[in-house]
Amino acid sequence: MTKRKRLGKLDAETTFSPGSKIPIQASRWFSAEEVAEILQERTANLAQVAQEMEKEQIIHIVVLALGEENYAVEATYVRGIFALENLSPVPCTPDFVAGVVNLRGRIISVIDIQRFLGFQRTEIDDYSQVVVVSARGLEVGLLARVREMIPLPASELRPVLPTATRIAAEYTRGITSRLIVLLDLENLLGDERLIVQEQA
Amino acid sequence: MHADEELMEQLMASFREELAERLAAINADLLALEQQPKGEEREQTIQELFRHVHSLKGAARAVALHPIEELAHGIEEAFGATRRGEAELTAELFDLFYRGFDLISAAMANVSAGEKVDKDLDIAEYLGKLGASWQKSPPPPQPDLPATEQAPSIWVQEQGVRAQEADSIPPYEAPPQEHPVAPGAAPSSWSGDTIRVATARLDGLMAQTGELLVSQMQIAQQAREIEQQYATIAGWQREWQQVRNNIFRALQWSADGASSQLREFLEQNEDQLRNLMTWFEEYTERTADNLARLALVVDELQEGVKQARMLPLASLIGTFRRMVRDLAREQGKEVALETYGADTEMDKHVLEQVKDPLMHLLRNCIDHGIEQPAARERAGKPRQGTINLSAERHGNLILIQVADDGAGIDAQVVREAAVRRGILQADEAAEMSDDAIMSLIFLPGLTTLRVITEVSGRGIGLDVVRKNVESLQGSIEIKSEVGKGSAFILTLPLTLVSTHCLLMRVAGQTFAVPLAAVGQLVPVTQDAIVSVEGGQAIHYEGEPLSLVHLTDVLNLPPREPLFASEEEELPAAILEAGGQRIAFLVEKLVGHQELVVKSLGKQLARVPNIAGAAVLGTGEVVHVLNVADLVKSARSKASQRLPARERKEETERRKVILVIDDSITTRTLEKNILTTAGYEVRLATNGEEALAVLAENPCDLIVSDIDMPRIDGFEFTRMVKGDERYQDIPLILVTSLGNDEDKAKGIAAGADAYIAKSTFDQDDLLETIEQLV
Repeated sequence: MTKRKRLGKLDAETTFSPGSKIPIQASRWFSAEEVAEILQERTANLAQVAQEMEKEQIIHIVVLALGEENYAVEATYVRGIFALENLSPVPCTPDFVAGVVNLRGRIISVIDIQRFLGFQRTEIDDYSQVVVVSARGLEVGLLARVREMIPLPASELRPVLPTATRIAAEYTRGITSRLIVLLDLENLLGDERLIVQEQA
Repeated sequence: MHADEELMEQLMASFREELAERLAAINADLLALEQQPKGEEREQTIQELFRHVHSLKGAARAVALHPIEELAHGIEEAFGATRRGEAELTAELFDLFYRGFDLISAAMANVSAGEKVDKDLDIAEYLGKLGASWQKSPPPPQPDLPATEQAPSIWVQEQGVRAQEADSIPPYEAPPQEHPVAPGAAPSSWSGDTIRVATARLDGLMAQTGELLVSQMQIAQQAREIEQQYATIAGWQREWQQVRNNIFRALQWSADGASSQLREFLEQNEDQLRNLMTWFEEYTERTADNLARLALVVDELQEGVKQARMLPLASLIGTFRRMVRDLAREQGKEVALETYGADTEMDKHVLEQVKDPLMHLLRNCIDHGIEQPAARERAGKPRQGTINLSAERHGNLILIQVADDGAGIDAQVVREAAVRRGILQADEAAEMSDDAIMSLIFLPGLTTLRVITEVSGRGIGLDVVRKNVESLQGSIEIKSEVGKGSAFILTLPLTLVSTHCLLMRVAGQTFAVPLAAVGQLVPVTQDAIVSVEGGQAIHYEGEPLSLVHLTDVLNLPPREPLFASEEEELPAAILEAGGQRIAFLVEKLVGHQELVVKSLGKQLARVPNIAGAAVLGTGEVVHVLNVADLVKSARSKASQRLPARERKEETERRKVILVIDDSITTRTLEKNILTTAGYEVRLATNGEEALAVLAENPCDLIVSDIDMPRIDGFEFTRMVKGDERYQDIPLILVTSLGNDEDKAKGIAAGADAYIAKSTFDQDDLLETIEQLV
C-alpha cells in the first residue's frame, strides 16, 4: 500500500475519503448521461488505482473549475471547502482580492487566482465555493468550484510545455493526461505579489 | 483527586513548561558560547547559562524529579569550574553539555509518558564522564563526612554541595540595586494558587469569548425575530376577536351539518390560537431571561479572560532602568528614573506594543531632554536629571506619562522650522497656539529636522511613536515648557478585545468606525455643501470643515444621484485623527455596536484605510475603518480635485480683496474661494494688521470678521469709514454673530454688507462682492 496521504482534519462541509473519486458537494443535478460517464470513469480509475497503488505514488488532487478552465491543487494543501457566502469585498485592494469571508469565526481572504495570474475575473454565482488552502504559512481561500477529487499516479503528471498552458511555468507543477494543470501552491502562496502591504 | 496530588500535577505542568523554556534558552546560549571569543560578552553568556541550570536544578527538586536535578547539578558544577578557571571549555565539554541537556529532555519525556524518569537512561555513566572531563584529579574525599555517608545518595550529595554554595552565593543572583522588580520569580516559590499558562492558550480563550459575543448578538437577533412573530400572532388574535361573535352568531342560525362542522373547527382553532399565544408569551419571556443570563455570563467571562491577560507595567520597567542607566552613562549625564503606578495592569498585547514607543520616548528624554550636569547646575537645577514614568488607569483607558525635567522644547523653534519646511505659511504659524504648534513635532517632516533636535532637543522618530500608539487605538500628546522639561502623555485602551463602533453604509456595504474617533454626526443637505478650491466643505460650529465622500476615499462607486431631493439630508461623520478633522459623507447610519475587531490575515497584511474586520450578528463581515488613514487619504484626494468655479479672465486687472479674520481656517477658506474666483487676496489676522496692509497696498474691497482680538470688526469698520483714504472701499462684515442687533450695529458702523457665517456659502459671498466692486 502506498502511504496514504492524510488530509489532516478537514474542517469542511464535505469530507473526502482519499482514494475515492466523488463529486464534492453535489450542488447541481447531473444528467443521466453525466452520471453514467462519471461512474464509468470512476470504475476505470479505481481499477487502475488498485493496480498501480502497489508500485506507484499517488497524488490526491482537487480539481477546480475557474470559469471555463479546470485547474487542480494537491489535496494536502486543502484545509476546507465551503460554499461562498457573505463575501465582503475589501476596498482599496488589488482586483485579484475577491474579498473576505467569515468561516466559523475566522476571517479568510478570498483570492481570484485566475485574475492574479493575469486572466479575466472569475465570475461569482450560486455555486461558487471557497477552497481554503494553506502553504508557506499563508492561509487563503481560493474562489472556485470544486469538480472532484481524484487520485493521480505521480507518473501521469507531465511537465508543462510553455505552449500547453497560459500559466507561467513557475506556478505549475505539471499537467495531467486530461490536460488539467496542477498549480504549484508553494510558489503561488510564496509569491510576494500576493501579499497586500500598502500604506495609505 | 487529593489536593496534594492536584497540586503536584499543577507543579509538574509548570515544570514541564519551564523546562522547555529553559532548555531552549540554554541551547541558544550554548550555541552562542561556542562562537564567542573570550571577553565580557562570553562571561555574560556563561553567567546566564549558569543561572538557567541552577534554576532548573531547583525546579526539578521542587517536583522531586531527582535524576533531572542530579543531571543539572553535574552540569552546574562543570560550569562552575569553567567560571572559576579550573577547567577549559573544550569541544569535548561542549559535546557533553549538549548530551546532558538531551538526557534531561529524554528524562522529562519519560515522565510525560508516565514512565520511570530514568528509564533507559544511564545517568550515572554520564555524570561520571562529565566529572572526569573537567576534574584533572578525582575530587578529594570529604574529610568531615564519614565514609558511609558518601554513598551515592543524591540528597546527601546535594546537601554537601549546598553547604559549599552557601559560602559563595554567586553574584549573578543578586539583582543590581537599580532593579526593583526581580527578573523572574524564584522557582522555589511555587505555590498552589498560581499556575503558568501559555499565552497562546489565553489568546485562544480570548478568541473564543469573542466568538461567544458574536453568538450572543445572533441569539439576541433571533429573540427579536421571535418577538415580531409574537406581535404578528397577537394581531391575528385581535382580528379574530373582532369578528368571532358575528361569525358564531351567523353560524348559529344556519342549522346544516357543514355549519356546525365549521363552528366546531373554528372553536378548535380559537383554542389552538390561544395556546399558541400562551406558548409564545412564555417562550419570549424565557428567551429574554436566558439571554439576559447569557449576556451576564459572557460579560463576566470576557472580563475574566481580559483580567487573566493583564500584566503590570512593572514587567517592563527592569529593561527601562537598564537602558536609562546605560544611555545616561554613555552621554555623561546623570539621570534617575522614577516610576509611579508601576502596578497598573494592562492587556499583554497592549503592553508589548507600547514597549517600543516608551523606550523611544525615554531615549528621547536622555538624548535631547536632560542636559549635561554642568549645564543643569548653571541653570540652577540639580545635577541629576529626573525622568518620571507614571501610569494610571481611568476607566477603560490607561494614561502613561513620560516626563523629564530637562531643557524642554521651544515652541518658537518648532514654529520657525515648520515654516521653513513649508508645512505652514508664516501667517498661519504665527496664528497657531503654542500647544497646536507643539503637536507638529509628531509630523514626519518635522521630527527629523536637525534644527529642532539641536536647538531644543527632541525629534527623531516621534512620528513612528505616534503611529505605533495610534495603531493601538491610542493617542499621544506633548506638553513642554522651555527650561523646565517636557512630558509625553499616552492614552491607551485597556484591552483590544472589543471596540464600540459606529456602523454606516455606503455603496451597498456596511463599514464600522471606532466610536472613539467620531467627533460628531451632522446631517448635510445638498445646499449646505460649499465648493472650495481643492474640494468641498460644510459649516460646522461656525467654521468651515472639509467634507469628503467616503466612497471617494474608499474608491467605491458613489450613489447616483447622491441626494434624492433638495430636502434630503445625508449623515456626515466628523472623524478626527492626528489633530485633523474631516467630515465624511455617508449614505446611511446603521447604528452602533460592540465589535470584536479581527485582522484580515497575513495575505491582507496592510490595506489602506481598513484596520480590520468584524462579524455582525447576521454573519455579515464588516470592515473596520482606519481613521488615521482615512484622514490622510481624504487630504490627498482633496488636493486632486478641480476648482469649482471658473477663474476670471486673466486679461482683466485682478481686483484685490483684503480678508481679515482671526481664525486661520476661515481665512484659508475665504482665500480659497476668492482666489478661485479670480481675485487677488491679502490677509490680515486683526484690525491693526489690516490697517498696516491698507497703508501699503490699495485694496478694492475688504471682508472682515467681527469677533477679533484688540480691534473688533465694528471698531475697524468705523476706523476705515472714518478715514478719507479708505472710506470708499466697500466693506463686508462676515461673522458668526447672526442676530439683527449685530446687523444693525454693523450697518451703523458703516459696513456695506453683512453676511452671517451660519448662512455663509460661496455664491452668497461672491455675489455680494460682485455687486460691490
